[in-house]
Amino acid sequence: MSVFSELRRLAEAPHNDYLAAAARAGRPVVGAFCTYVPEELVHAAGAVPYRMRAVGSSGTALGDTYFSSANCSFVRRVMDQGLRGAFDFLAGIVFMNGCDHNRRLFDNWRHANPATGFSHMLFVPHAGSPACLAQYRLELDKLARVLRERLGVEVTDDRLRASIALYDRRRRLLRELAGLRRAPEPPVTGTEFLALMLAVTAVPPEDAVELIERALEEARAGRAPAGTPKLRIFVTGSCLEELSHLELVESHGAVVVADAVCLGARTFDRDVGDAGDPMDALARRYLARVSCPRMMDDVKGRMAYTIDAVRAYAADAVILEKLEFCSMMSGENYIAGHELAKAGIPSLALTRELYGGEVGQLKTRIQAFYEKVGNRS
Amino acid sequence: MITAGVDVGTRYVKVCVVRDGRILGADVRELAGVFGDVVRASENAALDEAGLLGVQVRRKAVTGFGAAAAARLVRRAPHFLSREVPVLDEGVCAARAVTELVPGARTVIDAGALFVRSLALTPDGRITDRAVTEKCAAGSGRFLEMIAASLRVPQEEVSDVVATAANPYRMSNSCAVFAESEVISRVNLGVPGPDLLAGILVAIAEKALTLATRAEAAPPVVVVGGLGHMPSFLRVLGDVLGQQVSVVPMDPQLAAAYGAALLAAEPVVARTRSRGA
Repeated sequence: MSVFSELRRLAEAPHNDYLAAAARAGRPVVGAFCTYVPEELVHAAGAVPYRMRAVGSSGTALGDTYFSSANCSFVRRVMDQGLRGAFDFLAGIVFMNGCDHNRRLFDNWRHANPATGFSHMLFVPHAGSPACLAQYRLELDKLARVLRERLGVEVTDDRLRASIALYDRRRRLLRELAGLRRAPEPPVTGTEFLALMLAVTAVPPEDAVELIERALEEARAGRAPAGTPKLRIFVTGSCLEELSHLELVESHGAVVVADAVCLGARTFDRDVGDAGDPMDALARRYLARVSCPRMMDDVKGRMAYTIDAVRAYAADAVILEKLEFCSMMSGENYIAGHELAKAGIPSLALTRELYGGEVGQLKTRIQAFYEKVGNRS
Repeated sequence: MITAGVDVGTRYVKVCVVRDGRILGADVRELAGVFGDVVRASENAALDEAGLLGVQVRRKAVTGFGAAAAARLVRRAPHFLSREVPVLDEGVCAARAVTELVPGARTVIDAGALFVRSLALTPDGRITDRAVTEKCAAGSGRFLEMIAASLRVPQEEVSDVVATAANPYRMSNSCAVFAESEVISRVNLGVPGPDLLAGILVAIAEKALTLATRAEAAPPVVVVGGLGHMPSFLRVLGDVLGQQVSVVPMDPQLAAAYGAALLAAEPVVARTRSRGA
């Protein structure tokens, strides 16, 4: 069986055999809500970091008891899943102040108190200045203390260095696989890559490395699942976990060749390295890698990253994704649309609900956009 | 004492003429055409059924989305004795009707045309908490009407059609307008109509679940409002809530008007001055 089929299976369920095996071996699983939560730190505390997701969600009926319909569908669906017991395998969750919706998710989670162990909020500064870096470093120390108190494992420098080395390896392998998508016939579609990202952030990193190596092996063997795409697409956004949505984007002969999303470049951009104090290095990497729109001092950096990546991956167009009611992506997409236009890169801003069913409208807009881009060349 | 309750909803006007808790006459009619004409026609029809004249009605109360407008109307053309017409909250009226007919009910789910409302009651019928759907039509009877019309299923056949659904479709939109587009997309993708309609009932029932959970509602659950006419909705609601639900033992659409008529006879309400002018 192709490893990509296995990855798809792992991507489509909130829990999997790897996590069950880790639990049997006595390793707790700790959820993390954002790419600004250093997985290395959680791993060094003896736990398996697990990227929180709404995969498998069937609705928001219980989530809506805490949120209104003007909240983003990610938090409403995750809350719903939590209240239904989908995350009862967790020993704790590290929340992050990514946006107001996420902050309220933390408040509501503590109030509802589902059986998901401890809840900790990692406060990440909204900029990358030296003062912010120092503050973030203090927050990481606090997280390490919380993990020690909750899991009983001291995060020593040696343990942290070992975890950093493992995660750097995972990042290098992911970058290598992502790099293969530069080829005229990409060996991995955007949907397959997203499935891989969902899978490798839901299994112990040791298993993740093995899965990525198998994927790389298959990719290097000359597979070309979509042949030569008619259009090469770059995708930006924040929360994007619906395989069906990327399948829609990749219909009509287009293939996603690169991205700047949470379950993508933001996860594997830039290594931590092994120089100096590991906690300092960790803090530096997380505030220096390709940023998220929540970071207020790096708009230019994000625009430059997108334009460089569009050129490096020979992308024909950019799709700017956002979830309904995401104010950060609204502002970001407005700026990005203008900046991309100045660079001569066509873009389409798509707004959707997570696992929403607006297939007809989205399909029409995507088809019209592809037709417009196709007519340019 | 003879009292009347007028419930001016977003889709229907309901009037109940009551003496000592017993319904003497009632009318339900669609709110289409000139507002004042429809409300007066409904009142007259209920009075005719009761065999009464307007002057015989000692007190009256109005409720519903259009209650304030109806109260103004009555003050301008007073064919009832009292010119002071209290405007009452729909939830309070529905709860009053339920406590009259189902003593001991702890939760009232009022599933009407525009709103779904959940009321938590104490064992002696006082409201302790309540939750109402938000600004839009999703999760309401009108939502069901829109989708049924899109699928060309007459309203009176919806319940039977839903009973044939093999695999209810899960709606992913919380907005009725987008949901209608979603339904059209799904029709084009070959999802059977009964499955889509059943999905709408599940969506409405899940709204009710959200509201009931928010209001920390307890069993037994009693349903009022137009959707109470639909056996399929009651079945789906019971499944979603995970408990038995019953419908109020009267025309569920009339419940709020009946509750308003009961409250009109009560001293506290009788002293209430009309508002909303």
